[in-house]
Amino acid sequence: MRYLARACALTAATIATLLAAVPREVNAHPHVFVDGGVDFVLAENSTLQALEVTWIFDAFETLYILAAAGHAPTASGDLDAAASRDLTWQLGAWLGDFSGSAHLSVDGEQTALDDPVNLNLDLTDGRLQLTFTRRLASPQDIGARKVEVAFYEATYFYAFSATKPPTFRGDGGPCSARVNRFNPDTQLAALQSTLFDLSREETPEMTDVGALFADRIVVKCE
Amino acid sequence: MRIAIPILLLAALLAFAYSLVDASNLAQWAAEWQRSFQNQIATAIQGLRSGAPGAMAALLAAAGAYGFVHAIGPGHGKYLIGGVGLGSSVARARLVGIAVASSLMQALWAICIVYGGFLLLELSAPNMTILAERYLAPASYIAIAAIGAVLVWRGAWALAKQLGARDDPHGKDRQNACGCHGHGPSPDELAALRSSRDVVAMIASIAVRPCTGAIFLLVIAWQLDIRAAGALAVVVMGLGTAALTSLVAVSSIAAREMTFASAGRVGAVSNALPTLQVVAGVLIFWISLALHDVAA
Repeated sequence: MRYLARACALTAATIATLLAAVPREVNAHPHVFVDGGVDFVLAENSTLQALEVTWIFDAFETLYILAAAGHAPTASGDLDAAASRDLTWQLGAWLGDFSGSAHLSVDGEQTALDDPVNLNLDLTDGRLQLTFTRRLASPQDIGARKVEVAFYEATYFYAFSATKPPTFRGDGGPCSARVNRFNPDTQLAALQSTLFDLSREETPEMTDVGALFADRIVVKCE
Repeated sequence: MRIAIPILLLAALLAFAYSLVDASNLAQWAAEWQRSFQNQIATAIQGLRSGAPGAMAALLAAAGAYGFVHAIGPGHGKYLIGGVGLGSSVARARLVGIAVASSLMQALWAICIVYGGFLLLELSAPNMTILAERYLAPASYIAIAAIGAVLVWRGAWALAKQLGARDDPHGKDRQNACGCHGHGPSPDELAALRSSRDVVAMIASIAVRPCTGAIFLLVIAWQLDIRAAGALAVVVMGLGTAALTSLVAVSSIAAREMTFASAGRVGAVSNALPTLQVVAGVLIFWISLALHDVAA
């Protein structure tokens, strides 16, 4: 009995210490930080037609993207024409497979978006800025409906932040938009319960872990 | 039962400390600092290209700081080092040495892969990150899991031997007759890391997976033709990582010493250490495979 009690106590001590040394799975820290945001393309009658997405890469990531593609900033800190053409093409091809940083929901239902088009790339203050358009597969009247864009990447390899205030293209009418930044303090309880699920259910829940840390852009038309 | 009380107290203390350090806040904190240091690295690299004074010092400082906060995340062998510190009688200096050597080898291996890959194999940068993440990270987890299995085997062997000796009324006499210590497995048997083979296995299992941050920096340095500066910055980054893993090494040994401080007085160490070794080995094995699944 004495040995059993001792073994149990030792097990508890070891588990506690090792757990302290082990990151929880959700800490699979982001490797790429992207600022940016979403603008809304509206037609008459509050019909949402497309999202215009902006990504602004960090200075370090900018250097890596350029270097990995065999380019470097010019002496004056710009992109030369060849680099711009090459990278726009590469990023466009890659975006086709990317799960997307803008996750649109209308009244809580996920809304399908077409592949990115109208890609534009700039190098400003040492940071690559990419903009592209994602049209709704079928435009929707969003008057009096709850519209939200969660700005994240599913695996949290990319950490997106909605730093750019949202605007409306076309006739915004009575619509307004604001950003709800991810707040670790108020969302902690939900996060912890999800963490519990993650360790129990493993991969399926892990596939959307980025959503836990998402900034959300909310649109209201009143 | 006297031994159980300090151990339970220690477990409670550790669990309490663990609950105080909120993982999501820690991750957020580490991510923010990582981002900040990454951007300082980028600024310093631009400064190096334009010949700004102090750019090299700024690059090294930012790289070292990045290595430290980056190591808070997965990888870098923290749980292997922590588990071995807790579950074997390895000396503090030796385990810190292993932590430092692992991080430095990890840095040198990243330099070999990136510079060697560009120079000799004409690999593309994405191929290097694929090599690191898709092949070398799982290889590291599997190697660390194998070390966990060895720890389990050694601990179980020592435990079985000791229990056998206790059941055998002549065991002590026989042990004394052969000049062995009578209180169970000798320190030599339990100090699992006495042999250089063990040390090399530990270092290699951690170092085989290069840090992606180091790969990115080296790719940039190669392309911007600041190769020596990039290599030096990655070595300093490794030292930053070593500072964190050394902290894990020292903490785990402190936890083990606290556990055994009173156990030693009642002669229970001989029983406790193999038990700890088995449990630590099982956890190292299990966590490695779990992380391998996440990475796969």
